[in-house]
Amino acid sequence: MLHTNKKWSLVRIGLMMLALIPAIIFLLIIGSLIWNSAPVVQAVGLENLFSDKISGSFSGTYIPNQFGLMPAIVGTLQVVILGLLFAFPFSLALAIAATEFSMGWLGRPIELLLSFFSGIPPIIYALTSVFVVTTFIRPKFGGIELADSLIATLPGLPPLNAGTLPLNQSTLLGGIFLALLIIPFMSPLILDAIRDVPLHQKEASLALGATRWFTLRRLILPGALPGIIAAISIGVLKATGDVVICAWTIGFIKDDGLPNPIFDIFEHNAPLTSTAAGLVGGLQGASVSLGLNTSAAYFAAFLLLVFAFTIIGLAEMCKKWLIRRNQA
Amino acid sequence: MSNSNGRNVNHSEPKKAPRGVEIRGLKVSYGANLVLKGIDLSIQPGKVTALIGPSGCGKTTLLRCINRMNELVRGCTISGEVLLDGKNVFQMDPMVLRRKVGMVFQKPNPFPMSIRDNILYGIEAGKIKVNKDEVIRNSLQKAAIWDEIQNRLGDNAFRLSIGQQQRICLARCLAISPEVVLMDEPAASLDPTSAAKVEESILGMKGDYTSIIVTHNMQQARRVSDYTVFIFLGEVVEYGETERLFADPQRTETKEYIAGRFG
Amino acid sequence: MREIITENSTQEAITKPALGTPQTGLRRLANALIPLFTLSIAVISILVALVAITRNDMEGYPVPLLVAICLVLDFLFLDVYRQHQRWDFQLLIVSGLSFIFLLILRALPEFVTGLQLNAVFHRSVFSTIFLLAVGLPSMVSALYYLLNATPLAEDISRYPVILIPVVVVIGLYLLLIWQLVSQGLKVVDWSVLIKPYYNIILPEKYYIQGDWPAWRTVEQVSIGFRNHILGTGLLIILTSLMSMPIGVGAGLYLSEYGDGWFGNTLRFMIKSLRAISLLILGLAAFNLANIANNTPLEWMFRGTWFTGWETLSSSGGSYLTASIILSILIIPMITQVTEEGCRSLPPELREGSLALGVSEETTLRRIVAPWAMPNIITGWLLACAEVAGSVAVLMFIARRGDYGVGVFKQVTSLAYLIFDIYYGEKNFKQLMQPYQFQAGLLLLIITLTLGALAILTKNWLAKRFRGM
Repeated sequence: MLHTNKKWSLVRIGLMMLALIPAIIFLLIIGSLIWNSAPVVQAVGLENLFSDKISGSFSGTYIPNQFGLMPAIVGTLQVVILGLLFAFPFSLALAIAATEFSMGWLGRPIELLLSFFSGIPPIIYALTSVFVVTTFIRPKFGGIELADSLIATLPGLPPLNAGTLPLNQSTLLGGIFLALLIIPFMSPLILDAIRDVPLHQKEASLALGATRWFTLRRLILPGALPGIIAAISIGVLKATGDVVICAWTIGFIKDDGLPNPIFDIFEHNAPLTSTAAGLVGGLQGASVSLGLNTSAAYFAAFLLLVFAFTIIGLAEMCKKWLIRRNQA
Repeated sequence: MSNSNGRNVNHSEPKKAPRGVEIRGLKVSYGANLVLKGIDLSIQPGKVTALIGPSGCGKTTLLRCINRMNELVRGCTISGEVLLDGKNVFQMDPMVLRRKVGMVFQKPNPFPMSIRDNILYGIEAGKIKVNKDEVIRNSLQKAAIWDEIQNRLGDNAFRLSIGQQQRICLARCLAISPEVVLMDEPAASLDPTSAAKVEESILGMKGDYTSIIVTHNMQQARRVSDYTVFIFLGEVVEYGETERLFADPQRTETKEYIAGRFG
Repeated sequence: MREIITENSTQEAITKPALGTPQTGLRRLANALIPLFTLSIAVISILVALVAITRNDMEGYPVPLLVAICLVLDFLFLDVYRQHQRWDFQLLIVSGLSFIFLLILRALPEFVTGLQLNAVFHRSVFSTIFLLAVGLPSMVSALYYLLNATPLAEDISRYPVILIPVVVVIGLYLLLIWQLVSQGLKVVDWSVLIKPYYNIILPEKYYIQGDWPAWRTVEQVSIGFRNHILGTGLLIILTSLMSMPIGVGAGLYLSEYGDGWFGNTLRFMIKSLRAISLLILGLAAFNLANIANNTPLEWMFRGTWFTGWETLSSSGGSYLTASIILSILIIPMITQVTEEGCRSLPPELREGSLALGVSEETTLRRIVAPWAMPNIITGWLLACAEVAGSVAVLMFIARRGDYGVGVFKQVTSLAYLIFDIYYGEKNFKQLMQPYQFQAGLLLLIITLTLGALAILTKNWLAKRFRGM
């Protein structure tokens, strides 16, 4: 940028007005979230909101004015961590294949494919979820097919109701699809981070007779760590914020208590996004009162906002700490 | 020093007699551009050989052929032979080759790690079992930097000055006990004091290592090398002992280059 | 103190063949036998594991394979010592692991329950995981020793570790897309593309015996999603109109004048708009539509229509509302690409223009903005794809587009249709279920075409605007 004394011309003021619009909208949105979640906070109190009882139509627990969001929070954490666990190794493998281990020709096709896949809207992924369920999940983890063959082979077993076995919606499924969603976004970022490691350092490493694998392990991956952390944070942001995939593959409200974090991956542990959607859609059944359900949805959205900013802040801090440690 | 059969017991000295390098009919082109047009050269073991010549005439290309770093560039075609002690380097495993032929680059490129980790990097890469502290001390001594940083081994290498970084790179290269050391204008980006220290190290390497140094600085070539090669437009124009070449150059191009008429 | 690189080992290192240099044939074969055998068993294990992901009837294979791996790794361990004088304990560890896995697999019944999990696992889940966990390291080691344990072999033997996940994940994506395409092409009725959907009850006059006209109600059903498709188009147009000026303007401002604290704060806020969850935007849309309720401007923000009795009614939100909120989604994207485009301008061009005495504003208009055009247009295309695919924003305000498409009518879109079919009321679901995949295919085509356009026109745009 040239460092001249910029005059306040008409064009500059006009552009500044335009630039202010989104900033103002940003503030407005945050304001509206706070404003609209106030009613429920005032009416039922924060303790209620962070309890683990919520009324919903899934298992028919109609408790008036219960908007406990803890199950949803646990659900969000569960599905996001699961999604990251699935997505990160594959993203890393894709990025490494496209840069270091490609012998030169694999890089471009992979990048093209990735930008191709990143254009697929989440609803399309959700649409294919039924196929994934019938092909991969049900035969392995229990569905009608499995129940039948189960009953056939072990006659002494108590009668299993196929309806109680895992089914079309579960956190595991949500995790898989969130991973599919975020891989095309994380991989290019990791790829760029690997490419940004200076060439002369890679050359120095090879000139010392290190294998490419050793160079990757000891030089490139530690050097690309800030970029990798940025990629992970983008992945987390996209995963927590996604509504459609979670709503489709997991369901809307979990109202039978706090899910066990490890063992309940086959339950409908609806994360915050789909819980909020369910609240607005009135899935509380008979306990809707005073329009508090929409207010509770705004509160859930506010929690998501806080979470998003926390992740951004954490990622920035991590990156700064890493860069300081490497450069000084 | 070596004992009678060339084996060394004490790691503070290199273990073998340094090797000579033979180059026969080396041609290198980048794409359609023929850079080296057939080099025949014989590098004497244990001595310092300087490659001089104007920019862009293939000195660095020649250097990088010896440890096969040119293969990392796309579109590079190489033909001919480079023999390290009689064995063709193009038929060796490149990583094994590079553990015998080390390189110091023009711009210092230490790793973003501590000085200690930098020196030990090549040793860990080659899974060599040594006494780590001794290796560090010896390498840093040979690179003429031990006194300055012996108490700061844990510091990140980026905190050092450019001259110190280059010497760290030299130490890192020497730590894996190569037989041949290639240096691509090692003192070019350094201040005079550091450059002098680098030259001091190079002089100390005579006899233990075969060194090949590319340099633009003819005075440096005179100070440091035993043999000099003048390369012009991708060909070896003249080769001989340094004193003789500078005092009494045989070819006109050499005369004119030394006199500063071009380059 | 052990000598490191002695003269002998140097000799060996040079004569140990790099790939392709022949030893005596028989000796080479003998040396390669055990690693080759290990490699083939490892590859078979991995293949069986991958195939068993979809099938339940490969129960006879995992146990013998695990036994084979366990044994052959032990042999390889001894052979490595014979050939390379090295104890590779990793082989023993993997061999031990496979033994443990073997025991576990034999102890498991075919269907596994328990652990508080609301699931019944088929045993093949475990056998797949075990086979992969043991097969991959075996494959790597086998390949390494097959290639004579040189450093180059170390690199080559790691290729499978990278390539197998790549193939698996890309294969998965392609499989899903193929499934969608094949389902969508199994279409019964292509006319759904041009018919709108409605399922409404209309009054109809009819006459009985020439006397008074009477009314009866007739249910008119039309199955199609023309309105949804047009709705998507309208959303794209409206959103572009609203967001492009703001986005480009903000981007130009930030790149030209945005280097102080003010610009940085602005940039931060705009960037944060991207991070906020789509749910928040959906709620914002809901909010916007609702606060307009009972105000004079209601007709603008809520989807309004005229019922058969010619009164105004409203429900949900209008295209205007949806576009406003979608613009919020899009503007940060456009701003970012505009700023990137402006910053990629070589300083020499800007300086050249200023040195001729041209004012900064004109420089902006004639030099900087055209230079950023390729980025802007690419960004716009990607933004359109994003708009076409967005459901979350529309989730709370969209309806079925029964009453046509227009700026102030009820908003609907192709993407929302797919969601609606899954979660909509039974009647609607029954009618539209068969066309679900068709709609999905259409949406996929639209989005991918926009994305492909963005990629393909990059070069052409660069030539057109930058003369490169």
